[in-house]
Amino acid sequence: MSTLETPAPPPQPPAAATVRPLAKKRARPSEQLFKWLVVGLTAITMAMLIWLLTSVLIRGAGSISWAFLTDKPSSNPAKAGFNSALRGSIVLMMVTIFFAWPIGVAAALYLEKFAAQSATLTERRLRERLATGRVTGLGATWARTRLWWLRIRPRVVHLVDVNISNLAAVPSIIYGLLGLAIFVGVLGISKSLLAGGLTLAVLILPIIIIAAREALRAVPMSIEQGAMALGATRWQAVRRQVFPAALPGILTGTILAMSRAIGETAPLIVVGGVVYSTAVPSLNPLDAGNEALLAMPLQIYFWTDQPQASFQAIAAAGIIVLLATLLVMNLAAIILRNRYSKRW
Amino acid sequence: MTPPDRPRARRSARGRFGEKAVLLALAAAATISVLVTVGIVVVLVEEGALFFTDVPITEFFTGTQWFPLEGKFGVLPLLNASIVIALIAAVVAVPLGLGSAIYLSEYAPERLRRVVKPILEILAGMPTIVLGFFALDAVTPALQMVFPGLGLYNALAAGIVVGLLITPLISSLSEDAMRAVPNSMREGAFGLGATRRVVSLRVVVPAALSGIVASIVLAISRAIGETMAVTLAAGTIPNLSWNPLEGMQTITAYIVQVSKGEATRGSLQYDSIFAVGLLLFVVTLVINIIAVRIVRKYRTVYQ
Amino acid sequence: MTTNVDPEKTAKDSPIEIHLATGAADGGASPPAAGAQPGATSAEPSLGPPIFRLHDLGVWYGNHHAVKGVTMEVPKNAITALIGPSGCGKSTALRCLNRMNDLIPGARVEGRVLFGDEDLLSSDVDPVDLRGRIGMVFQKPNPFPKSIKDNLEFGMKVNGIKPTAERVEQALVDAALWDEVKDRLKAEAFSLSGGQQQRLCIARAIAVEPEVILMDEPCSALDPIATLAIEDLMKKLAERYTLVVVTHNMQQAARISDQVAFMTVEGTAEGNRTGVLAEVGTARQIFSAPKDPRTEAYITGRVG
Ligand SMILES: Nc1ncnc2c1ncn2[C@@H]1O[C@H](COP(=O)(O)OP(=O)(O)OP(=O)(O)O)[C@@H](O)[C@H]1O
Ligand SMILES: [Mg+2]
Repeated sequence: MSTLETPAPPPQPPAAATVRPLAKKRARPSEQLFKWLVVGLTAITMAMLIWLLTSVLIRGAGSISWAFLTDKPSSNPAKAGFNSALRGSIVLMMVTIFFAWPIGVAAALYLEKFAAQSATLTERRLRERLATGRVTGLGATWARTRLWWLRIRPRVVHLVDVNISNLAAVPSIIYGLLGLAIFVGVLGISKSLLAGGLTLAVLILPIIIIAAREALRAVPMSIEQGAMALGATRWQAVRRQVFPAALPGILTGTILAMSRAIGETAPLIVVGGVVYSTAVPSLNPLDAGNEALLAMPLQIYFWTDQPQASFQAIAAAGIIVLLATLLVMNLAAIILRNRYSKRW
Repeated sequence: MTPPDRPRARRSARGRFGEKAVLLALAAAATISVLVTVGIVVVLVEEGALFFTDVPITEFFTGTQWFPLEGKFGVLPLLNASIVIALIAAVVAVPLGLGSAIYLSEYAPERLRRVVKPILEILAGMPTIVLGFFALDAVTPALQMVFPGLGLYNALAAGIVVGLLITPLISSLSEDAMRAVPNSMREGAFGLGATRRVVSLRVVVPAALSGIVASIVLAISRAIGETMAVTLAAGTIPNLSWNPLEGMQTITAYIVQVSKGEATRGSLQYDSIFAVGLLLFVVTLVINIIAVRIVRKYRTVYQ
Repeated sequence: MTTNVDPEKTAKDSPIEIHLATGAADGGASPPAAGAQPGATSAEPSLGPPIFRLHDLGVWYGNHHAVKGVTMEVPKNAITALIGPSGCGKSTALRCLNRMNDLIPGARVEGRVLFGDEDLLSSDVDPVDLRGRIGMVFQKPNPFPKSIKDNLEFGMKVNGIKPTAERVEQALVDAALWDEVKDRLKAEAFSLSGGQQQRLCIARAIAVEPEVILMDEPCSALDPIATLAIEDLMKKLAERYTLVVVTHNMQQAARISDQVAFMTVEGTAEGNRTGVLAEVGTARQIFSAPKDPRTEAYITGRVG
C-alpha cells in the first residue's frame, strides 16, 4: 500500500501499519481570540502609559526652559519657576539618605549575617559554665538570660522579618502621620525639610533593609566561610569580604528606594502642609531644620490644584523634570547592577 | 583575602569587646524597624483615643455624614469612597494585570518579555502625583466625552488611574507565580493534546492561583492607601454614594485636606486625621495579612 | 499489584541477563548489516508492521545540532526501547514523535517521521490533535495540582471525550491504579506516592485513548518495586498500544522491549556533540549480538 520511496534500497518496503489519517491543521477561533485578548490587554496597559507620558509632555514641554529650572516660585504662572522645589528635593534626599542608609544597612547586616546564624557553640559554652557552677549570683543570671535570648532569638528574628515586610506595605500617608506626631509633635522639629527628610527616611527604611538583605544573601556563603577558615571572626569576614561584594547590590537597592522617596507627596503634605514660599532653600543640609518644606512633588501638587490652565502647564513641566530625575536614577541603578553584578 | 594581620594571641580582649559593640549597634539598628511599627501603632492609637473621647465610636462607625466643621464625624462616606475607588481600580487592574501576566508568562517570546516587563513596571514606579495630574488633565476630559454631565471631580477617573498604578503589581506578582509553575506541568498538558489557551487557563492559572489571588488582594490594599491620585481626581467633598460618576472624598484625601490647612495641634480636626488614619492602617493591615495567609495556606508545593 | 519477578531481575548490578520480552522470541535470524547507515532494516517479521517510519530525522536547538540522521521504524503494538548515554538525544528524538519540540523556542526538526503513510512533521498537520493520539509520559511524574479524578478528566475534556465515571475507572484499572485509589478519587493527586503518581500519569495518557504512548524514562524517579509494577503495566499496554520507551536501565530494556534502538554521541568537526542512531534491532539481537562496536561497549558497561 505504501508508495513511498525509501532512501536505501531495502529488500522490499515494509507495509506501514494502517492508522487513521492525521488531522489537518485547523483554525481554532477560541485560541486566536484568547491570544488576541491577552495581547490586547497588555497593549492597553502600555497604551495607557504612553498616553500618560505624551499628555504630560505635550502639556508641559512648552514651559520647560532654563529659567523654569532656575526661577523662584511665583503667583504668576508665566514667571513661576521650579528652582526652590528642586533644591528642596535635593536637600530632602540628602537628609533621607543620611538617616536611612546606615540604619537600614546595619539592620540588614544584623538580620542576615548575625541573627540568623546558629549559636550552638555559644549555647554549649554557657551551659557548661552554668553546670560547673563556676558562675554564681549575677553572673549566673546573666548567663541564663543569654541562654534564654539565644533560645527565643529565631522567633524574634522571624517576627522582625514579618514586621519589616508589613511596614513596606503600610500606606505612605501613615508615615506622614507618624512624622507629624513624632518629629513635629514630640521632638518639636519645625515643619521643615528636616522633618520631611526624617519622615521619608522612616518610609524607605524597610525598603532599604529588604534590598540590602537580598544583596547580602546573593553573596555566596563560601566567601565568608573562606575568610573565617583563615581565622577571621564573623564580623571581620562580613566587613572585609561580604559587605564589599554586596555593596553594588545594596547601592542599586538604595537608588531605587530613593526614587520612591523623591516622588512621595502625601507624607510630606501631612508633615509640613503645602506652603507657598518664595524663599530659596539653601543646599546645605545642615540648614534643613530651618528651611520651609518644599519639594518637587509638593510644588506639582500645588500647581495642579490651581484652577487656571496656565498652572496646569507648569505642573506638567514640573512633572517632566521629576520624571527625568527618576529616569536618571533608574538608569544609574541599572548601570550599577549590570556593571558590578557578579556571577558566582 | 585578608588574613588576620596580628598573631592570634594579640587579638586582645579589647578587639573582642569592640566587636561586641559593633554587633550591639547592628542589633540596635534592627530594633529601630520594630520601633517604627510600635511608633505607628502608639501614635495612631494615642491620638485616635483623644478623638474618641470627644466623638463616640458608635457615631464614628455608623454616622453617614462627615462634616467636621459641624461636628459630624460619621466615617462611612470616607470609608465608602475608599472602597468604591479601590473597587473601580480592581475592575480596571485585574483584567489588565492578569492579561499581561498570562501574555508575558505563557505567550510572549523571551525577547519581547524582557522589553515589555520593565515598561509595565514604569507604571508601578510612577509617582502618584503624576497619576493625579493625568486623571485631572487627560482622563476626566476623555470620560466627559462619554458621560457628558461628568464633573471635574469623579470617582471613575480616580479609580482608573489607581487601577493603572496597581496593574503592574498584579501582573508582576501573578507572572512570578505563573512562572513558578514547573514546565513539566505544561508539558504534561500539551502532551495530552491541550491547546495553549487550555494550558494557560486550566493548568497554569489554577496552579498559580494562590499567588494570583494574593497579588490582587495586595493590589487592593495598595489602592485603598493611595492618596494623591484620589485627592486630586475624586475631590474633597464627602459623599456617601456608590455612583462612580460623582465626586467623593476618601480617607486619605481627607487627611491631605486637613493637613494642607493649618489644623492646630490638639484641635478635634487634628485628632480626627489620626482616627481615620488608624482605621486606614487597620484595614490595610488586615488585607495584607489575608494576602499572606492565602499564599501560605494554598501554596502548592511542587516536588 | 502482582510482581512476579525473578530475584535476579531486581539485582541491578548483576551483569546483563537477557530475559527477552515475549513476542520477540524469534530465532537468531541475523538481518543484513545494520548500523548507523540509513536504510538499515530493523523490523523483523515477527514485529509487525511499522507505525512510525523515521527518515533522516534531525533536530537543532538554535545552532546546536542535537540529533541527526535517525532512520528507523517503530513496529505497531510492540515496545521499542531507546537507549544510549546521557545527552545523546533520546528525549529529543522521542519528543519529535508527537511534536513536543514545537513548544521549545528555537528548536528545529528536519527529516520525515511517517505515521502510517503521512509525515507528521509536515506543517499542515495539526500538532494539538496529533498529541491527543500520541500520548506522552515523562521522566518525573507530573500530575496536575488537582484531584485524581480531575487529572483524568482533563485530557478527556481536551480531546472531546465525555468524561464518564466508567471511563475514569477503566483508565485507572488499565493503569493498575484503581484498587489503590478507588475510594479517594477526589483526593489531591499530589497526595499519592511517586509510583502511584506515575501510574496516574499513565492512566491520564491512556484515558484519552491514544494510539501510541511515548515514555521518557518513566521509572527513573521510582524505586525498584514501583519500577517493576510499571514494567508489568507497560507489557500489558503493549497489547493495545504502541510504546516507545526511553530508558537508562539496560536490564529494563532487555526485560520489556521487543525492539531496541541504541543512540550515541558523535563529536563533529565544529566541536559540536551530535546524537546519532548507532544500531537498531530486536532486543535479543542487540543484547546478544550487537553489530556496532559502540553498542557493545555500551551494553557491556565499558562506556556510559
Ligand atoms: N530545550 C533544549 N534547548 C537546548 N538544548 C537542548 C534542549 N534539550 C536538550 N538539549 C540538548 O540536546 C542534547 C540532547 O539532549 P536530550 O535531552 O535529548 O538527551 P537525552 O539522551 O535524553 O539525555 P538524558 O539521558 O540525560 O535524558 C543535549 O546536548 C542537550 O543539552
Ligand atoms: Mg532525556
